[in-house]
Amino acid sequence: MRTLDIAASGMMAQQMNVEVISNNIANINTVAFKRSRAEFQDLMYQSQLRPGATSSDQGDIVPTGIQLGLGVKPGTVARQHVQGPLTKTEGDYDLALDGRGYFLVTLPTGETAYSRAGNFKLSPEGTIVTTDGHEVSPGITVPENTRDVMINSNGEVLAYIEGQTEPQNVGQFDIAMFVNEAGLESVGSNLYLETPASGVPILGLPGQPGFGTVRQGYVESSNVNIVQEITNLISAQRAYEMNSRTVEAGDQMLNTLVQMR
Amino acid sequence: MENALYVALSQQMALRRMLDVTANNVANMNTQAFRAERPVFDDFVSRMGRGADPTAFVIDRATYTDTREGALTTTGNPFDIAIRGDGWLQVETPAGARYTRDGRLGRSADGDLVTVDGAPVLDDAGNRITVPEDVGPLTIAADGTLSYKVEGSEGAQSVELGRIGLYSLPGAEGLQRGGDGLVTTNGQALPAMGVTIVQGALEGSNVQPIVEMVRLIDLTRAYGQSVKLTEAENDRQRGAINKLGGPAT
Repeated sequence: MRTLDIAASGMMAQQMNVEVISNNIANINTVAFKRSRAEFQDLMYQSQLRPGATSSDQGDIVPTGIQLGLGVKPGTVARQHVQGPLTKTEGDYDLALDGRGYFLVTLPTGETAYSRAGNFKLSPEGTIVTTDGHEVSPGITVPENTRDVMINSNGEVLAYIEGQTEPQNVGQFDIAMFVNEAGLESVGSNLYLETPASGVPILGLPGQPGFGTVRQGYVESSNVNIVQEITNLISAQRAYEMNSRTVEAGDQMLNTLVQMR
Repeated sequence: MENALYVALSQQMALRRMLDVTANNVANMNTQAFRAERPVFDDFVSRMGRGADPTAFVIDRATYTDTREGALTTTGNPFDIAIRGDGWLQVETPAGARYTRDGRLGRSADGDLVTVDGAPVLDDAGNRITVPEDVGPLTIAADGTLSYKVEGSEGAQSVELGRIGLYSLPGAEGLQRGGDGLVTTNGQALPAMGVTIVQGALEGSNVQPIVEMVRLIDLTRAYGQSVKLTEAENDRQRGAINKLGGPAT
């Protein structure tokens, strides 16, 4: 009886749906988090009678046929790279990207990762690093006796040094864009890696055409919409329940079969 | 003549075995790094007598292991590790070298790095790993290197203790299971490539409750149908004996 397996595939799909939703809700306060969405596809069909087959030697064609579906499968869990709201923090090294683009982060292995989480800190040497201590490209070091730091919308870091009236430009942030942002691989810690699906990174500077601008004193919050997630959660839960009803119905039908005299 | 009863009996024995496998999976739904087993059935065709039609019996050929990774849960304990990718830890047991994915490590009284059952974990050269006492929190890197921090003259220095050995085993579906999450292999264990260790996390069981529950329902109903077949066959034989075997009137 196909019912049990079809309903089981439905329950497993809803379970995955709830797992994705719960990850979104868990990360509701994560800086620059992008919500995911589980999308499903119907599994496959068994044709007992194919539509379009000939039904007589006069050339009459079967108009609809008999096709039985076998359940559901997950198609993709896609990240929605929509801009999150900007939150004011007034931190000197808290940067938010307004528009498209990712900061480049140099990992200890030498690889380049991409991130929109701009809550940067200073390393003991004065280099601007992420919260894990990874250097942000191109490796900007703030000189020692700096009074104040201003980062303009083009990503230029201007340091006001003790004893000088004019600020000194100590570097400019690189940012990268991708043709297919949803194809980036998430590796945790707010980092993404390039994949064949995302395309090669298009490097540039903030403020150039098509690239976003940098805002100092703000961070980008997560783009999770709590109302939407709760609604999806309720819907997934009811779908799970309905699939379990199908399992029970299949079970009762088999019971009737066994008890036939 | 007795074929129907024997075919039904073979089905019932196979179902009983399948129920045992399912019950074992369900019981181990929360066991760390447990891998679900799946039964494989086949039909066993035999010819009863010359020219008779072949009869197919059921035979349970084997069980194979589902090699999907279980879900990772973070525990925060620096001695807990989870293996991501197809890799196994090598442990030393009185019966020889065994392999496990259960990453609940600890320190024995002699200072060896051991699993939760006390079996020493071996490094990539096959030796035990010694953890000195009172060294503070251990750091286990993604490639398995153990280290700890020591206050030196220039500040905190990192001292390396060795690298936990990660091996890939051939034929992951057919590995022989011992108890306690240990597996044995007859083939060659090679150093694993592309496998990382996550410290502070554990791999859970890969049993899917929905699949097991649905299989249980399926089994119960199939067993009921088989019993029905046996009863009907029994009634038929009894009826035949009574009607045809009675004294001639």
